[in-house]
Amino acid sequence: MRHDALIIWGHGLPDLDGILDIVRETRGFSIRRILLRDIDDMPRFVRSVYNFDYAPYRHLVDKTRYLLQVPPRAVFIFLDNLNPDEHTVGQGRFAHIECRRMTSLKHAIREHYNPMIDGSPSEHHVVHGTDHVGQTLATLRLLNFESIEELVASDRTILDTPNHLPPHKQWTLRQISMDSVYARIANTPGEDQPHVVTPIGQTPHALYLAGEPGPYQNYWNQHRGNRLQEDHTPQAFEKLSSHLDYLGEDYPDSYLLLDPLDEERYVLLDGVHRAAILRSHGVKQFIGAVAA
Amino acid sequence: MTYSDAINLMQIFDQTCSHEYVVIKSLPDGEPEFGSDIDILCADKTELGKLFLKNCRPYLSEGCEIRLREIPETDQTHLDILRDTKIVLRLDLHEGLGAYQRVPVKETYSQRLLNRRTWAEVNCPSGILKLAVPDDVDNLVLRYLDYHEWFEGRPDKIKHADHIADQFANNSTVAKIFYDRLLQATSKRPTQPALRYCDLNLKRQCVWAFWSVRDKLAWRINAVRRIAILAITQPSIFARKLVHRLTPSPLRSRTLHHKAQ
Repeated sequence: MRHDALIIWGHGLPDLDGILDIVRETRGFSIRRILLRDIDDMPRFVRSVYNFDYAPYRHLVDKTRYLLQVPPRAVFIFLDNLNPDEHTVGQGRFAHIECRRMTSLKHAIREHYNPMIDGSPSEHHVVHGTDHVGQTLATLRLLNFESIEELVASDRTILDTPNHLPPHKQWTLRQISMDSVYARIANTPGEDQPHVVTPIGQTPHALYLAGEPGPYQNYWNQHRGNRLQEDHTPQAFEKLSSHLDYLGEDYPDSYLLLDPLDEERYVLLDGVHRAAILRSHGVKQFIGAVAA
Repeated sequence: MTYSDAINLMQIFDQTCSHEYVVIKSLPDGEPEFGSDIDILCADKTELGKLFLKNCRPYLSEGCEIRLREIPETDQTHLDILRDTKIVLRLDLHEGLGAYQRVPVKETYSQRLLNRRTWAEVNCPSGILKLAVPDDVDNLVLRYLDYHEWFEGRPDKIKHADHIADQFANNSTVAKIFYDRLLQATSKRPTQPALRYCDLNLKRQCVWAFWSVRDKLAWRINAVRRIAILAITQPSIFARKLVHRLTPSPLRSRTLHHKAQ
């Protein structure tokens, strides 16, 4: 297993959900984090990204000139490449390692989403992908991360906890009534409060599963890459809903993590999607992990 | 409710045989008391903790709670099963023996102890429970560490010293192996806990005196023995170490520097 990164350039962002669908459906890849960033100095950023490319400099300048015209935003998708198929390409000083699976993933995305010019697919690539882990590390450093461990959850704890949570020294596992569960739902950017505490049954997630997709679709579009950094496109959410096996064999230690609001109510720290799914499946009580 | 109605140790230790662990203090036969601790030294407390958690999960549907508590200072994790907010069973997982503050234990000793583990059978109401335990001599070393660590506050820990003295009396070779293992285990000579004579009767005072002398002597004898063995079996290494020891420090640091380069 190795970690890879995809960069979706500004002109590919309208198709982000479709691109995520392609990645999700490609065997051997697992989406770990999705980060949206505004770019202040596009020429410098493009130079930084292609600094680690192996093509001759002049070719790179020609190849990337179109990027100076695209919207100055990019989405970084960090992936687990579960079964890399590495080989050496190029010769002499251009020799480098590539993964065939990663290359074919990039080509599949470009084939679908590169813009058409004069009726044929252009070379204005919507996606840049890493060839080897050195490039992944360089991409992480562009975002001021030192290592992939800062982005992905550590498996060195008994309970599976996402890395966005501060470390907790104590958890208590107990039966929780679904009626006592609330979620912090991100507010529209610009509002005074960053989030609002909402009963799980009234979240956009629960409404989506109850047949009202609008609020969740808006929620995802507003917060993807910022507040929502995992693969929670509506398609991914539906897939999770049909396959969820809470605390089953694949994820036996992925408890819903909660914080007590008061003596009778809990707010979810992690697992709003899963809680909404359990509720939609008619679960009245579940085993959750409550932070001390 | 009896203990065996509340907790099934066979179920909790199910499938643990393939994990590297030892139960540090052996369990009594029959039913443990409510609130008992089981101290477990293991190679990977995350993996073992996940297995215990899986095995304990059925208690959650019986109205129990499970509390997981990390104690980073001593590298311990407590996995407690609670019923009505009271601890029924505590699994105290250690990844090393860092909990001993008074006698620092080398990290390598934990692994050696795990490699030398043996199996004990404990009678439980639901059958015979097979548990990994330290071998006899490591058990004495652990008792010795426990005694040193806690004696000042808990004079009843003299029972460990009594037990070790009894073992020495019964089998003279045990003492030799014990001191070898103790030298493996500790990075420096343990400090003696302050004696509280008011807590000791005459017999205990005698045991203590015997122990103090024997301890000091054995420590030095073992050190001399190791040096002598090195001088005979590997004279070149011995000579180099001797020169190293006798050389004034600035030159020594330069020598090390050259070696590193």
